[in-house]
Amino acid sequence: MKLNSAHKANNLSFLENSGQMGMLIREMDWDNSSLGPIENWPVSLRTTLAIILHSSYPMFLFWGDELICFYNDAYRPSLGKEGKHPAIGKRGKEVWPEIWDFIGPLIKEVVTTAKPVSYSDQLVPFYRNGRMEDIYWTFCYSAAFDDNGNVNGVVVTCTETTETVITKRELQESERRLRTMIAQAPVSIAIFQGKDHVTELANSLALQMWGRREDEVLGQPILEAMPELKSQGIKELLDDVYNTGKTFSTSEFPVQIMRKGNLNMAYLNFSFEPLLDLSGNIEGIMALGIEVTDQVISRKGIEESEKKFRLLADSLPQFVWTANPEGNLNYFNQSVFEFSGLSQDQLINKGWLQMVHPGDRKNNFRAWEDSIATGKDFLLEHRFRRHDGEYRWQLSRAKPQYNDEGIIQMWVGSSTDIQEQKVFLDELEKQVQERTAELLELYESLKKSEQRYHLMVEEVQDYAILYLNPEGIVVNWNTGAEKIKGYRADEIIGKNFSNFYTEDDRKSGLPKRLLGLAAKKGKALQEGWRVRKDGTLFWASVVITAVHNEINEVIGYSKVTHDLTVKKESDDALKEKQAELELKNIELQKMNKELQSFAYISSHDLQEPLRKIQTFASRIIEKDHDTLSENGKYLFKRMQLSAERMQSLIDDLLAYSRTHNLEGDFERINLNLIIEQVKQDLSEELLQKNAIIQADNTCMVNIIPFQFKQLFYNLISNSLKFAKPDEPVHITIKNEYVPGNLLEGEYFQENTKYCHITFSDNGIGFEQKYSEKIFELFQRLYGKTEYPGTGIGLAIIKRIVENHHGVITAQGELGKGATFHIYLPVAD
Amino acid sequence: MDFQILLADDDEDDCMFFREALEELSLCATLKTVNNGVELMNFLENNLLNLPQMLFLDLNMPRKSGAECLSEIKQNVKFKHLPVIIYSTSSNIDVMDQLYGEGAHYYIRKPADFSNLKSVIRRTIDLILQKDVLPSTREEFVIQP
Repeated sequence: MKLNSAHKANNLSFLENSGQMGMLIREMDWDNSSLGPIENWPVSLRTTLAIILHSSYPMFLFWGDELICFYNDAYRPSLGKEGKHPAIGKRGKEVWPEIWDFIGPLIKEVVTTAKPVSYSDQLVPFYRNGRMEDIYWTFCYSAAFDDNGNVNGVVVTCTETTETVITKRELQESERRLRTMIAQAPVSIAIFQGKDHVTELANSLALQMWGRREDEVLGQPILEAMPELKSQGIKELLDDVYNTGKTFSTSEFPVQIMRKGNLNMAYLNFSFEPLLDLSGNIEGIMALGIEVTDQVISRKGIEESEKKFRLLADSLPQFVWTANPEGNLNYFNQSVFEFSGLSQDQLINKGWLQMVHPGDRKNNFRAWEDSIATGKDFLLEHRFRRHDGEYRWQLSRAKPQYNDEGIIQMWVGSSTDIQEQKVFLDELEKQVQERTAELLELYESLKKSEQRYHLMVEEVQDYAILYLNPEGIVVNWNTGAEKIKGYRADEIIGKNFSNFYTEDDRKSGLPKRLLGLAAKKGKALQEGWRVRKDGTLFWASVVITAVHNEINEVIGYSKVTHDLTVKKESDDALKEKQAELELKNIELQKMNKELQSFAYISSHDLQEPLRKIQTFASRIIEKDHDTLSENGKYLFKRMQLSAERMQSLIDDLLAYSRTHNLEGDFERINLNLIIEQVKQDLSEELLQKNAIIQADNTCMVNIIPFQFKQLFYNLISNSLKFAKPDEPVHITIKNEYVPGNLLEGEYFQENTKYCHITFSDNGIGFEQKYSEKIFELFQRLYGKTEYPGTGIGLAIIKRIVENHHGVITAQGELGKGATFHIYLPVAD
Repeated sequence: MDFQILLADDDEDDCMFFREALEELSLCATLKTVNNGVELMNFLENNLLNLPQMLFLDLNMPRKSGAECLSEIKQNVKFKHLPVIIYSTSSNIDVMDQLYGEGAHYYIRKPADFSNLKSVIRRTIDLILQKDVLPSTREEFVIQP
């Protein structure tokens, strides 16, 4: 430690030859600092400073509790021009306020742990050269010890790397740009390194071309990554470029590449170029390429199709040829050569014309020139000379071929031998002409027949016959139409037929409806008012018939109109008469009814005084019987009989007038039921005459019950009245159904069924000549004293039967009885 | 037993016949006659406490017809139980049906013979007195001479 003590004795020897910073330390007044005068600085500080100040590497020291700053000359430039310098002797925190947040903790860590902390290319921006600067550092903070071996400061060794960092960054940026450029290049780019051609770089187009992912090729020898290339000469090409340094380039190079599991043929344009290092040695190969598979395949397709076309054309017996847009023939198929015996050279351009018959040449040339000029298809019949000199007819045609822009690229033509057809055609033409003549004749006769028909239609006077097109426009007009409707043909043809309709009908769309109906049903019939040209109306019966073509489409309508005005008028008159008649009828019925009620009321009222006469008479006979003379008594009796007779007359008249009353409803009832009721009413009389009524063959009838009761009452009463005095009365009643056509008599209707009721007795009968007379009112065949009666009974019967729309007839023979037949129509 | 018979008829002859017939029948009956419908209704209203035992009612009367009277009588609580015998010339079945429906007890068609008249009146009075106010059936309705 002699050396140390010598230095200590010398005091400031550690600052000798220690540069400007040493000088600065020495000149500074340290007496008032926390370190005190230099002479008193501890050995550890002196030693540390000696190392720092004598180093040519930038160094910095923070010492003591206040972290007093020291640095050497090598460090000084890092502080810049107008910066922190001179900072020696200042406290660390004062010198580095802007980065104390960063270095403070570092210093503290080193002081605490005594372990060094280092950073490389760390950005530590601080104030220098008059501004904040971004400064990169590579530095190490290590512990500085005091005389006792305790950590009492931090030594900072550092290098400013700002420039290196910036250069590196620029380099990276430039490489990034390059890679981007390569990646985005429109061509495939790849770089292979070394003799094994390890793939260093491949842009996406290259990967696409290879059918590989980036991770399958990068860092791999390309021939390992794409083993299918090994047998295709690619290795030899790469080796050659690597060894010789000569660029290889090729186009449409066929190569089979495995893509998506399939070995595909690809065509590539590419070049291999050597990459040289700085010393000019070959270090790798750059490959640039474009895939042209599609173009090659399509071109090959075209080539193939052209080859096929030629094969096809050559195998055709027809002549096939092409021409350029200018009309110069440039290709002929084999058939042309064989036929003409001429060669390609003789035929091209205008040479082919020598094959054409001299008589056809001019025409041919003109037609061809015309097609070339206009682009219209070429079509011509002309004769070609065969190699043996014979001319044969040909049908030639040519079509222009356009490209995508619509410009003619070429003409393709063909010629077909039509010699046979031509001969045949001539024969055919002859036949056709003959047939045409026949047809013409037929047509003429048809036309004549049609004309006759037209004339007939036109001449029809009573009917308007017209033809309408599907829209209802009048197309045809006959004389009848002109006569009925008043228009001349030239006035109405071309106009709509709705002109004939009244305004109301037009508004309601009747014309259209009728056409629609005819189209649907084939025919439309209608009667109605139509309008003449002069505006007057006529009553028309119209038939519109749809006319169809062979495929059943409506092509028009025929319309036949008949003027029925006269008929209509007479019909109307008839209807009016009928209405009048009906009215009269109703009036008559009303009068009849009034008459009936008059008859009823008057006969009713007549009874009143008559009854009184009878009563008075009976009073006189009874009371004054003894005072009356015999003659007086006789006359009284006569008077009473007269009065009685008058009473029965009135009763019967009442009954007769009542039979008019049709208000009684019809009922379906068994005839026997009615007969039974009558039998009950007449029971006493029947008993008295010992009468038998046989009515077993009866059935249901549709009648007005009370009237039929009256009817049988009268008939039975009649039979009782006209019975033979010595014989019991026997009456038979039966009924059955008979069809009208089996009955004789004009009043029976053939199609109606009748209920036939037969009533017969065994009485005195009558002569057949009276069979009708007996039904008349007040008609009697016998004297009043013999057979009393009013002569109304049978009239009532007849009326009742007539009320039932039936018929009654009587059959009689004097002394043998009478039979009455009643026929009632049966409604189903 | 004394009883009172009321006859409503506008015909004097018929009233006389009826009175004579009743007299000859020697019944203990007193006869009161009115000559039209209005008079009839007034009489009934005025004799509510002393109503007759039966009423013989003609149909064809002036001012108020017999049919109208019958309808009024049968609709009035005060004398709806009074037996009404129709006494008419008419033999119209429809009219008979209608009157039966309205509640008339019997129907007499005025006979032409006086002895018949007597017998009809006799039988009717007997029927009314026997059956009192019980109505007849349709079959019994018309009393034959």
